[in-house]
Amino acid sequence: MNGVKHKLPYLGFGLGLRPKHYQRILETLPTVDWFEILSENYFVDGGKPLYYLDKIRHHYPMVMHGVSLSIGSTDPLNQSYLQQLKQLSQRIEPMWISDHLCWTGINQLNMHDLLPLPYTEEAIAHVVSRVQQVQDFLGRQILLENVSSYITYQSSELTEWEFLTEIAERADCLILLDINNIYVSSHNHHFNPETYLQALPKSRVQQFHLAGHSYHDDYIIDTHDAEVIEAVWRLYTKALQQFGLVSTMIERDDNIPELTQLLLELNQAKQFAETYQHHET
Amino acid sequence: MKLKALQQDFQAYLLGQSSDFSQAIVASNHKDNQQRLAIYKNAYQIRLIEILRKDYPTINAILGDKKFSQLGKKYLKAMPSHYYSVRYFGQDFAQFLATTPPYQQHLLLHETAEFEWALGKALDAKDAPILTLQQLTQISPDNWPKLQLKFHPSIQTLTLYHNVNQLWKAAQQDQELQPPVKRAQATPWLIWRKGIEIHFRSMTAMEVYSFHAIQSKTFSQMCEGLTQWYDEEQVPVKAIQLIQQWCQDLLINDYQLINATC
Ligand SMILES: [Fe+2]
Repeated sequence: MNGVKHKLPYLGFGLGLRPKHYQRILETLPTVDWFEILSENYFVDGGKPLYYLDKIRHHYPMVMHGVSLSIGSTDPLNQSYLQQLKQLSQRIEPMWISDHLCWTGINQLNMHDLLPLPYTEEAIAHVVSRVQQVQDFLGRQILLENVSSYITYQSSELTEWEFLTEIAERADCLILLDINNIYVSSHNHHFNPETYLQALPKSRVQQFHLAGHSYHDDYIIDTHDAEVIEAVWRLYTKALQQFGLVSTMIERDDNIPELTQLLLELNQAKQFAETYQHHET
Repeated sequence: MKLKALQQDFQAYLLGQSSDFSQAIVASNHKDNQQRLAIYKNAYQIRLIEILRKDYPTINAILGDKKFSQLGKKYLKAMPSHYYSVRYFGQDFAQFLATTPPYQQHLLLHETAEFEWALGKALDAKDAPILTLQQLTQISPDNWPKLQLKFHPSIQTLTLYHNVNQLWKAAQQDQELQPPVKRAQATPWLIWRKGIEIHFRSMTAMEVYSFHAIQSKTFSQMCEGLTQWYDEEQVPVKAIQLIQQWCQDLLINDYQLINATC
């Protein structure tokens, strides 16, 4: 990557910025250390989304989180997507930019889903070269997030954590660790989530996601429509032990509650982190 | 299996095309295999149908949840998303409704889709300065005949036979919809953004004419045409009133003076 690499800062405890809360945030300026925005929501020409984005940015640090980079797709990287991403980053100067370790479609179609990749050498090489292109274009390191998955490919040669680690190391990118997704996948694929945590390189874990999910028959679906559950909180404390304090945010995409309720949940995360700190000292 | 072939197969499966994808995954038995795959297929359909439902709440209210979902499934099959933002997934919905049986027989659905999509377009269209009444009054009377106006980029115009605006309001308030009313003549509508809020109102034929004339021609040429509706001595006053109204509605972006060419 061109340019000097700086270590990204610790931001504290953040929330996902959702249109439902725009007005309330501006009126009350709640105690939230930072907001994570969904980049694609602001790929518009003007009006309400950008109006609120600029106003809220004035009061809070932000990070950009995308869903359509499709870093693992065998289609060429979408240049106009990258252009828009860069333009938005110039507008709001985010602390960092993240997307998912997945693919979202091929043949110029978008399934608008975070589809898993096979854990193979071929996929690693493919993703690594694309991450490098994206980082060169944006002039900064990006974060890749682990997605939840419901299938295992016959062709996979590695575990998910080996796959993620290998890509992060070779592409020299950072990791956005979704604690809930690890939990969901560990349940669906019958592995020990702590094994996953222990395998990751500490220096590359830059952010945590916490979220809720729902059960469907024998599987857990990562729906982001409910509160964080007890088992995910437990895994979060394990992650704190493993990685130390990492910028943490609560991600809610559906069934979005009032801001005050999310703030309570965020406080819970803070308390877990504080307890962990006491243990450490 | 190589990455590209795997992605081809997976996507074909999601799109409901024939695919060997089920053989590419590990499963403890057939049921497990089918259930795991179905999670992805269901998620794909549900996610995009819900996007469509949010973009077209009035059509959902007209058809009901179940029929809307059936319609959404057909649309998704015919028009899979080419966009990296779901914002534009529903862009061809009005066209789809106008050309696909049995929906094409129902003008109401097509008109409602056009109306709701126009609201969305106005909502996040480009920002632009607004010409104030004060700026307008500073134009010297000598220059008025040469005046040409530029309108705000959020403005959308369309014509509707049905009372879509009333259905839309009821749907927004979660009220039960009254039977739609179809008029003998189509009504022109104007949709635009005032600041960050969406507004809409109907237009008279005279306003529609003026709206187009003042953008493509000049004030004096617009006035010539207004004699179709007013006596000649009334025309200047009526024309200026109309422009003042546009100005108060925050519709005008800018003006320029056009020297007449013969
Ligand atoms: Fe996440």
